[in-house]
Amino acid sequence: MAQVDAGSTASPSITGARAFSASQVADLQRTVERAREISGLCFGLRFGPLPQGRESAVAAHALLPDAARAVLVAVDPAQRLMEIVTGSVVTVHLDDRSCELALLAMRSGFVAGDLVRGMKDGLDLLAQHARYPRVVNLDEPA
Amino acid sequence: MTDPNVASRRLRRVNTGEALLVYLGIPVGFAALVFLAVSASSWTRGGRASEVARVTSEDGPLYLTSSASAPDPSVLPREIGMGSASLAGGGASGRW
Repeated sequence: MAQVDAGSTASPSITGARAFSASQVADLQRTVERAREISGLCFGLRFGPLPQGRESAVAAHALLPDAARAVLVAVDPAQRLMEIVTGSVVTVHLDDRSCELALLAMRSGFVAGDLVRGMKDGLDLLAQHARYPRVVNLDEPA
Repeated sequence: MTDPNVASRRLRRVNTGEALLVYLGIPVGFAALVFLAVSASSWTRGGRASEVARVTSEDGPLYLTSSASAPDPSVLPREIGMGSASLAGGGASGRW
């Protein structure tokens, strides 16, 4: 599993759904939807506490429909923790290196204090990297 | 010299109904045809289950997924069993 180290900045005091306005939530919804359309994979975004860190993110990923073909981006603002969990089928198209790059993109936004921007950048990057060329007659359409 | 009967047949007056039919009916019919042609494919296309489900609570975590059914975000299994571990293939972790 890839790990990205971060510098020391003040942690945000906001958490959960209250952290975002309705327009921000709608923006994130569109980003998740767009990621699915681009890659054909199920994407999940969780913003909230991850009591057990990576294990909590993996547990949340397992709750997604068709988890083997799903990608979960989990952010815990209290612990300033970012987790990306990819399904067992997804890793064929989205390796750990791509997940690292997504974390770097997210970190840039988070350090600047723009949580929405960070999550959107991470989702977009993951979707672009997970896109694979369709093989006509040999592949299921996304 | 033109036969007046032939001329009168050629210069027949068009009544209001026919005029409406020509100047409104044809464009509307054409537009309806285009609409059907564009939207017909979406009626036959199956499985575009791309509705974004959003499950939030006032104090709970924000949870967005790209499928119709989203799990309850407040439910987080305490025990990570083999089932959930086998579904995860990889990923990355980091802090900011």
